[in-house]
Amino acid sequence: MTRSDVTIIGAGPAGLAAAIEAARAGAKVVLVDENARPGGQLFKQIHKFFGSREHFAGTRGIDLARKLCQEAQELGVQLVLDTAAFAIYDGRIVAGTTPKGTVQIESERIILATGAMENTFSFKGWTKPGVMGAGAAQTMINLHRVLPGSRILMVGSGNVGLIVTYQLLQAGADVVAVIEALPKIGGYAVHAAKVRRAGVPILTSHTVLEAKGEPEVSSAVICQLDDFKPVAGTEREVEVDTVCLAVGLTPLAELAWMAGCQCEYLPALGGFVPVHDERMETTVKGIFVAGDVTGVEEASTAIEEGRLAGIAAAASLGLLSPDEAEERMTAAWERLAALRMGPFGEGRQAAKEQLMKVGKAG
Amino acid sequence: MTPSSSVDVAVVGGGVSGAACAYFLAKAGMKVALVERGDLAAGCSGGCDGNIMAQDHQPGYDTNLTIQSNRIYQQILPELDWDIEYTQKGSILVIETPEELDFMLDRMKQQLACGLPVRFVDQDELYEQEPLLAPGFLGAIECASDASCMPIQVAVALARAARRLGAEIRTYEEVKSIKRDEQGRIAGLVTDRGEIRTPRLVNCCGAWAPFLGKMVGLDIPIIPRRGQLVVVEQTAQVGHRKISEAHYVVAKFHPELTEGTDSETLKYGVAFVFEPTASGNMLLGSSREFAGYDTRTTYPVIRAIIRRAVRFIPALAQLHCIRTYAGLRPYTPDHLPIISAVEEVPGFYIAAGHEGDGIGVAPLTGQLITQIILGQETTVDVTPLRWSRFARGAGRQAG
Amino acid sequence: MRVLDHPILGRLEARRKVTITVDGQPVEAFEGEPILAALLAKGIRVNRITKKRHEPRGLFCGIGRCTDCVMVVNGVPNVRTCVTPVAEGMTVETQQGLGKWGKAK
Repeated sequence: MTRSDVTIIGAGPAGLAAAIEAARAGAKVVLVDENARPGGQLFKQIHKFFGSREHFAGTRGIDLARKLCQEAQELGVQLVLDTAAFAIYDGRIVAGTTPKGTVQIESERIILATGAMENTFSFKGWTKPGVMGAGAAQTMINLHRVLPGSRILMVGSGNVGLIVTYQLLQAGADVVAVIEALPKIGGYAVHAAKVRRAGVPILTSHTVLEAKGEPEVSSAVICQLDDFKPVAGTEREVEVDTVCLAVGLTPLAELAWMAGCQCEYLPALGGFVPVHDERMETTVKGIFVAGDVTGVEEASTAIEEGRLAGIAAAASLGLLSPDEAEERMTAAWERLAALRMGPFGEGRQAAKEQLMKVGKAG
Repeated sequence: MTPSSSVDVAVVGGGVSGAACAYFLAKAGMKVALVERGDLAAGCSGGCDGNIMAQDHQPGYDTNLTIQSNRIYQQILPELDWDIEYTQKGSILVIETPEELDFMLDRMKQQLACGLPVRFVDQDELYEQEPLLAPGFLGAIECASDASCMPIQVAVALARAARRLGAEIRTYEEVKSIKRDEQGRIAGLVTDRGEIRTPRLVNCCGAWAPFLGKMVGLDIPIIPRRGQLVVVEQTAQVGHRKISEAHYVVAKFHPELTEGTDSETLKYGVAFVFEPTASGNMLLGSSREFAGYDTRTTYPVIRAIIRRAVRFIPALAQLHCIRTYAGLRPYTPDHLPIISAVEEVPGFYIAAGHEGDGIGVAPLTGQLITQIILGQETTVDVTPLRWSRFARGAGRQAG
Repeated sequence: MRVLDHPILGRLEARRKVTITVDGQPVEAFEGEPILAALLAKGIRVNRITKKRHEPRGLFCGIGRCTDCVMVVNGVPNVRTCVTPVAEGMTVETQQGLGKWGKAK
């Protein structure tokens, strides 16, 4: 059995940032991930981040991943890859499965940074080959360098839908339209403008009714919506071989549930999320959370939450003085507050505050 | 608040035993209320596998209980409007050593004598039937009548059938106290939602039966025994019916033959049990531990179960375990259930303590309780199941 | 179809090629890429046929969670092709229903 001070599950931006902070404070850190390499979804993110300048504005996700991985490695973080954590026993033993068998890691503190998974929604023909998550298409083009199809309908105009649309174009596919059920575009105007400039129409108040074709998709029926109800007579068939669904993400809170952490349902954060305090500690002592698992946001906020969890976990082991920990955590909270400003951040900020209030009441 | 009501008999506990009692009592024309503090099958019946298995029992009385109950399963199937996933593919106990072989062949004779359709399957036939079994087994004992079902659906199906016959199914209602008249007879029960007047009460609370017993001053010697199980993903099944190890039966009666078994397996009472389910998943068991009412799974036991299973069917190593769960088996010191009236508390009946046989014996349990209450001749001799064997401290030695 | 030239990621670097057998036909793949990627490069998008309704399924999540892309690989059913790397000589078959156990290689 491997032993560590801090075990972190998930080597995406939150997990890497947590590992770096905990290791910097002197903790023996084990970072577990089910994939063959660390970085999580950052490796698919070939676009430049923007927003607050100190937050990697102008940096591509893929470069940020390399930087974080290198830093973690230099600080002696032990990577346990190809290992899917499937359970936490007694609040301190992480059990994982690898192609070679199972492993156990006993740890003083655990940080869950398991991220989120794509949502889906069902319509006639949605199970046909050719209908897939936008993230799945992104993985294929940016990571594996293959196109999942050549003519694409993107469903959902949030940031994921808009960014993946643009990246599909960069990979050589043809995106016939982005459709959005809401009367307005969900994502940042900058991304929408880029998609429009490339000649892809964004149709708001539209949905997909059916994916047609045997055995795989060869067309899709879309229609206009009025107050989320299909408008009769507006149906039209578009010739596409792929329908990508970009309809939000759900936090992967299973391990938190299993470990007995109290979870709350907060739609603004993507569903059931583990309750935590300002130190990112859950209702189970010694188990911390960071990143999308505790509310779907972005890589930049995930990194700050990861830092908070890493610092708090190290401090709770006595590796940082209370003053030092306080100072570092205050700085991280200030950066988080800056990231959560503006119309997109406000709702999440409010939901996060609610989550922490529940934690206190409990 | 449910309005207070008056019934002929209140069945407490909504597992398979309670649902079966409610069904048979209602069928006999009695006015029945089934009271369950949670949902149906939320206790012991929701944390087990679906065995209706006779061949792992001690030949004789034990075996006969399952034989009779399996027959009743088949009789009532047409009356259920809910699929209980009953399949009768038989079961095999695979044999590893010459010592086990001798023991099992000898035991087979006793099983045949009590009417169990068992036969020896030789090595060639065994591997023809189960090509993914690890090499080296000497053969197996097959019992053609052994069957499987889905326990949660059994409880639901029987409760639905009982309701159609007029029974009241009251879930999420917890019994708080039991009322008795001046003579000490059962008069009714008080729940968190009201009162039920009744001259009879059947305690079908499985591992929790002692709590209801305490309400009338009885010390029921049922102890929860935890069993852990592993669920394997849906795929082409690696075994075609219930497969268990003969070693487990041997160990139960001849512990001296278990030499060489790894310590983990012995420590947690782990025995290889494989059960393909109707959905294409597979269940792996089993374990036996006394851990109070803790129904969490533990890493060492799950690991021991999986290791043991892979030793018997190596192809399992290629598959994913998708879930683990644990349940409580209501253990009694002599491994037999209590299906009986309680003489010292007139109107109080017990149908609990089946340990690992609750699912298999449920229909018989319901039928016996009904026969006992109505003073009818019973399907099997109920003497060994009587409460009096435990009353006033009799026979409390742990087994 | 492979993405050979990419405005940000550049030209696809040359990697060692291996040959796998897909439903009896030889298919060229890059060593280490997921089986699914090799199939998509050849335009193959149906990975399995469901048990009850006999419907085709293919790539859906791409990260090993949904199990829609499972196939029979080297005689083992239920292999998630989106997270299983190809290897020289691998046999890959469209999974019918819950699949079938074959002779392991």
